[in-house]
Amino acid sequence: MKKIDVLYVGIMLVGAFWAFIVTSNSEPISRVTPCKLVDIIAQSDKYISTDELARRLMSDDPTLTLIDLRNKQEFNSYSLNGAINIPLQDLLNKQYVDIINQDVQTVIFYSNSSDLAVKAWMLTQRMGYSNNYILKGGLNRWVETILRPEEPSATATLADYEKYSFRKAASAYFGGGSVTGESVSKKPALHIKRRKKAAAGGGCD
Amino acid sequence: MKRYLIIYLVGLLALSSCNTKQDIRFKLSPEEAAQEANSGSYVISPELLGDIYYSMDKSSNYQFIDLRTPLLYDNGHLKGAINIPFTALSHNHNCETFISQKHINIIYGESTEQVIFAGFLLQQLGIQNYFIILGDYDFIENNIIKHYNVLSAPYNPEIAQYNYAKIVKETAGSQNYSGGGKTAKPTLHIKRRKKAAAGGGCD
Amino acid sequence: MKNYKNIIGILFILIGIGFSSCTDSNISSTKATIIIPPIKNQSEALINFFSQNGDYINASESPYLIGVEDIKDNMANYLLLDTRYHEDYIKGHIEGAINVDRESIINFLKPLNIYQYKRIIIIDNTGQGAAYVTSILRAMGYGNAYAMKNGMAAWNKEFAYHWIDGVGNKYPNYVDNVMVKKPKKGKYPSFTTKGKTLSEILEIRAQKEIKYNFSITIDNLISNYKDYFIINYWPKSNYMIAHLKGAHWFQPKKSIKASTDLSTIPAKGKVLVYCYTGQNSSAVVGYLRLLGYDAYSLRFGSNSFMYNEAVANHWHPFIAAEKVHNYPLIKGENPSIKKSAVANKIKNPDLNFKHRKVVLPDPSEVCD
Repeated sequence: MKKIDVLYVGIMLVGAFWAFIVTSNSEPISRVTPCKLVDIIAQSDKYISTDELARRLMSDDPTLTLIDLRNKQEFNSYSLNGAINIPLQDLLNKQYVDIINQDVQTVIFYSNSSDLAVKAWMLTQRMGYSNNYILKGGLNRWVETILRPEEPSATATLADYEKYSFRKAASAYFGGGSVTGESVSKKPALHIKRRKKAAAGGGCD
Repeated sequence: MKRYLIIYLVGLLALSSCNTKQDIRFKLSPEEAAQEANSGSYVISPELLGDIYYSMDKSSNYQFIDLRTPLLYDNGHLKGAINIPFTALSHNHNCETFISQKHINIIYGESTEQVIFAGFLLQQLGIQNYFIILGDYDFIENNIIKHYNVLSAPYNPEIAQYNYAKIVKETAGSQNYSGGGKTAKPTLHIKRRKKAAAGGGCD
Repeated sequence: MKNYKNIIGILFILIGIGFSSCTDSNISSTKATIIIPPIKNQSEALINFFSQNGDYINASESPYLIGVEDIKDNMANYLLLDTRYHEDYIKGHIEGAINVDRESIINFLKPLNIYQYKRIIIIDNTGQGAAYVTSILRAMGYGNAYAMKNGMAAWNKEFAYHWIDGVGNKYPNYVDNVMVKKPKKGKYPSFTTKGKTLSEILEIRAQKEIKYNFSITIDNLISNYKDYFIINYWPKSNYMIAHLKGAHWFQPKKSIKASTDLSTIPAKGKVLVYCYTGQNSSAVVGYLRLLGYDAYSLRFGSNSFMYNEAVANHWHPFIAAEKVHNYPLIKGENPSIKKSAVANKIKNPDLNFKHRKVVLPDPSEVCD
């Protein structure tokens, strides 16, 4: 009778242990599940636009931490002012935890496009970090919108023009060319609308 | 006998909770995912998408998945695409289709970012038979369907489209920024109480 | 008592099994290959493709000409490709223009990251060859390709002779205003290339046709007048005033379509298209040649055989005083060190796509 009892208790323990082993093999319960992650992605505020970033950089916002996710070589040839280089594959290294797991600093990930930043953001969400953002469009859009803003068309709204003049100012702020040198040949920042002589294309010649 | 019943119930609960729970789990840990993040996104070029689109055939082995909202989907979508709104991805039935191995899923959505989210999610789940289309649906519509601009349209894979340093140099400005050389300067990362919700975010 | 313990034990084992079976559902996934079905009827597929995707040749902006004034103002954002003979290029070219001949232009563009240029501008002597090349590049998917209107003849008076020598009033006997009946619908031309997908077929067709000597002079036309099915490509009101004898009226931007009159053009035999300056017709000819028609454009259009009437009716006559500018020329071999360096270094992002294997069945295998 007693021996059998011990046997059953033993079996029970083995069963429990088995269950424990098998479940702990996969994702720990404390971490985010895939479905939960999808909900987080769908519901959070995760982007910062190039305009917004330019605005905050120009106002010397001290709470901004820029993380450049590209490789060292690309980082060295050009990076945004004050950015820290953490190649994406090293993002979760222990040495960087203090930088990306932040409450106070707004951490902004960027790369050439949004690709790496989106992935980095997703990983930080899996780790449960907060206050991280993605630079939408990355450096490519930074060039297109801030460094080389496109003049709005004649039918554009007033808001478009305001945005354009902000971008023009930002371009002058972030541009690296000396004002006396190359810029002489460039057109003035304030663009006076002219009538176009001949529209491109069209016509039945 | 009471104890017997209670234990029985607990056992049943454990079993049933397990059955109703999503069985889908990450195959890669975050650390592993970070390691593989650079190598795993399977992006279709506009040219290849054009080839696929203009040879659409019922005998094909792929399935377009549209991640946008049903409203946008109804307004226009790729021929043969099924709609799985990104926000409803975690619903059981959608999940099954999304990770289904029957077809090669070719995923597009309302923005490049959304599609990369979906693609990276699949990658972390260990799914391999998918492709993603960057750009939003408008890009596809304007540059593949309505006009065929596959070779000149600004598609945005993760590669420098410009020589940034040169452009900054050419742009008249005040920063006189001389390019690289900056090493990761240690920034303040002392944790303080959060003052206010950080700005940013523009959905 | 014994039973009771027994059951508890079994229960725990069951729980264990339950947990394990539920985590065991790892998704097994293997890399797959997309199978793109081969295009069976290539010529028909191309016609369908054009009619589905907005039909660039019938779009409002067609034939995609761009004036020299605009180019002068926006040179920095444009990729200028000069397709003239090298001798002419050395005599003088626009600053930053790269000398690429028609034959190699497709291979030249391929590795470039094209979209960072606002436009690709094709330059030639008169604008006609440029319109032809532009038309073919557009078909291939270069949606930012444009032709420089009237060519170098409009850029600098040094080259104006290319156009001025082209105008004339010979052959008054060949001009009349008799309406010609619309021909019956027929078949489309057919061709088969080694291409397996749309982009491959387009590229093979383009590579073949882009170097073709597609334009003929009025003298040449007159001496073989009967050989040609002549298409008049300008509005009907003007057609009723004057046109080449026996020419068929085709409505600009409406008629060269599968849904309208495309099939009334003979699939076999020579087709001649003319318009006012030869530029619009060159673009149309580029399109028709891609589709397999043996089409030609009349050099300098109506300017070449009824110049005086063109002037009187304001039918886009080439009047040197109005059209020719005196914009700066760069002489010599050295093109645009600056710009060609940029153009050559930047690689197409496509090369970085990690396409998993895409299976393209060989058309010969599936042919029946």
